[in-house]
Amino acid sequence: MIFSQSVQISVDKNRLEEGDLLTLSIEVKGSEDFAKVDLNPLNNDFDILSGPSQQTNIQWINGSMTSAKTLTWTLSPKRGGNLVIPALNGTVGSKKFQGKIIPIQVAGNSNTVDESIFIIAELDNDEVYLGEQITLTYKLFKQNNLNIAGIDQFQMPDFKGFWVEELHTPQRLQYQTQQITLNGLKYQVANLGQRALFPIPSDNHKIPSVTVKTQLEIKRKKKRRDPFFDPFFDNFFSETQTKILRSKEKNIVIKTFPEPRPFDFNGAVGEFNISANTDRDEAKVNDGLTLSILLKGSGNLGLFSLPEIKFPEGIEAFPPTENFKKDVFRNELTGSHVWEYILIPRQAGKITIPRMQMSYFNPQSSSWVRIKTEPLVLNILPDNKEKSFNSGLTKREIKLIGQDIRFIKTTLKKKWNPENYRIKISLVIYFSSVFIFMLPIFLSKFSRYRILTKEDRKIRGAYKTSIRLLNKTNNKPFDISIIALYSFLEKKLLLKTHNLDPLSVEKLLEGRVNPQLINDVMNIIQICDAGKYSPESNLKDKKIIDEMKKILSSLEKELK
Amino acid sequence: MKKIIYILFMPSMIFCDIYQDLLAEGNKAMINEKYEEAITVYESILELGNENSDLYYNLGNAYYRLHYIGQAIWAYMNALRLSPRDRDIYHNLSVAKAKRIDRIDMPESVFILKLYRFIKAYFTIGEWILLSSILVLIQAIIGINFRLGFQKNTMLKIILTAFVTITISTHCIVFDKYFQKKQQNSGVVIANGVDAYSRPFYGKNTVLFKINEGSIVDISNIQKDWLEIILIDGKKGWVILESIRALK
Repeated sequence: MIFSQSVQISVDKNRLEEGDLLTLSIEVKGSEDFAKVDLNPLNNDFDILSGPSQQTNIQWINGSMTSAKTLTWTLSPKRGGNLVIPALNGTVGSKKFQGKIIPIQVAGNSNTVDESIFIIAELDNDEVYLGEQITLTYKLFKQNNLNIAGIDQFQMPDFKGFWVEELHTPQRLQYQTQQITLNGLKYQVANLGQRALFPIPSDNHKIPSVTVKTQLEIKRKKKRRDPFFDPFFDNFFSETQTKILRSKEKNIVIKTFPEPRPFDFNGAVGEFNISANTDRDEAKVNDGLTLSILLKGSGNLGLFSLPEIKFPEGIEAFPPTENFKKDVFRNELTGSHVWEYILIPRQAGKITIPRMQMSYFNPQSSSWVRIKTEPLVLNILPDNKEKSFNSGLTKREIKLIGQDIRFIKTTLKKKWNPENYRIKISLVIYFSSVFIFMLPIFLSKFSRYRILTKEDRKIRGAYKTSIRLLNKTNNKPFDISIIALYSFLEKKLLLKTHNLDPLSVEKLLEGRVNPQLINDVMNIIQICDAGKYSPESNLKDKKIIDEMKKILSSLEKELK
Repeated sequence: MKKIIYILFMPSMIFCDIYQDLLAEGNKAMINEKYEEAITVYESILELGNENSDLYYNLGNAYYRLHYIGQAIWAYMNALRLSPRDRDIYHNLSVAKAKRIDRIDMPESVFILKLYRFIKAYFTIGEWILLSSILVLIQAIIGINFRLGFQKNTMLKIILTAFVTITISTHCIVFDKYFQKKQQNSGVVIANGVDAYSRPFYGKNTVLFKINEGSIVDISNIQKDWLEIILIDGKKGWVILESIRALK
């Protein structure tokens, strides 16, 4: 047996007018299976109104059986012009196939828009913030003289980039009592459906077109009837014509939120109120109580979540049960969202449930609004049979939780801005210490007065110490006189050596004092040297000391 | 000299009475448990550019009573900055800290480092500068003594060396404190459940972590309305400016 398997893709016509329908069929011969085709490439130019419908033909020709399995779709072109049905890919059983491109010519009569019947998508607002409600109403306009025999069930399009809430879906076509006049023509208007759309973050926000298939009654011109048919039947079966109505696509402009955005903004747009309460204020340890948080208002309820509640230590909270009630009130989505937490206190004392706060955006006033609940204070009484438990706190922390803060300070004694004050004082001290350090230099520079340094005092004290040495009663007057003279010279002239001898003394004094005095000094040195070793020197005791005093005083005068 | 001192301290002498009255008014509101009112009064004094530790301490108490734990911690930290040896402030700060939700623990440090931090925190920066200046003054007096040579003994020399060492180290602490303050901006989170993002804007952005009020964070970068924060444990992220109050 040879299975000659073939796939044929065909359309019933390739020239049509806008509003006409097209049948696409895929026929598979010689297979047990229907074709599986990916029809996504069609979506660019066509709407699939119905299908696929399946059909199986079996033929015996000359004893051999051929079977044909056909799938058919009804398509409606989206626009006029030269369209193509692209090459369709699919499989039959395990084999792949690829179809051919089929050109379709749609006579564009878009310039002559049919004014007798059309659909519009009515928006209350086309420039909105993310999360702000848009009310979309599909309306059917028809002229009075036109009768609609029927309207097919239609699918609301897929609103990409929006969160959709149903506001109104009519069960049957119902015209509004009031007629609307457009361009001088009177129209009856019917509501086909109303939706609340909330834009969510997305790349583009477009209201897609909706496609509705209607059957219109056609008033036939009187024709010559076949005598076979009784004109009577015409009254029952008035002729109808299928017409595809399509609304236009609309673009929505998304406005950006004004900056700065509050940090606790969680996407809520509209107008809300928040409140929190517990079913009772007092409870025993390990005794459950209910905390309910009520968010009421209108806007994108359900599109955002409640800010997370941070329960204090010592209380255990179970995940909340949510209850969301919505009602449609004047085309606005209003409702209330209740979160109920079961709380179980694990510790006696006063427990505070912190406030909850959130910000929402009010599109009416284009402003941010912050709402918050009051903190709730619960009085937790100790349980009679309190058990020890592990709360995850260290001992120190538990101790601190039981304690309260200390009272405010009311003395009013503290200085203002103490740091500046301290720095100013330190600057004064720094400058004064530098000043003190520099004081001797300044004084000697500006007042010629030299503060005594150690050397100064040495020079000044030279004469006094030598005289004091001489005045001491001593049994070696010559030794003392010579030591007094040498120490005087050492100190007066700031000599470093301690080994003075008569020769160096003469050299030192040369030029500083007059030659007469040098002579006297040399004399007395000689007398002293001689006297040191002579036994009868004792007689000259008094004399030599007095003489030395005289010489020292004259040296003191000369060496100034 | 007297004139200079007078000019330096004149402005604070004139205005302090007004602030003292305002502070007294705030305290009255506190005693009457009108905490919101007290906060307004205290904050108004701060806005005028005046501060002292009592003001911050009382403000912290007012915030604590209204359960603004983050703000309370902010106020206590500022009070502690101005008078670091006040036990009351320590106590209230630790009570407020115990009420925090997030507990980010500081990594344990070496004993020497702890000791150094303790010494550094024992005085305010102004007090350290004052101490340093007094030490310099003492050295100047000892130095002038040496120069004029009234007394010269080894004891005095040892004392002087000790003073020089202490003075250098106090100045080092002053510089350390100063640069730390200049480079490291800290802040306290004052809102609950703040999202920290990977980038400083909304939109397609990743939430890195959530942080709750009372946590002390380092601010490493500022971009119009946004702050980059670093937690003590090293996590980094961008939060909205409003949710952090910077410590001075």
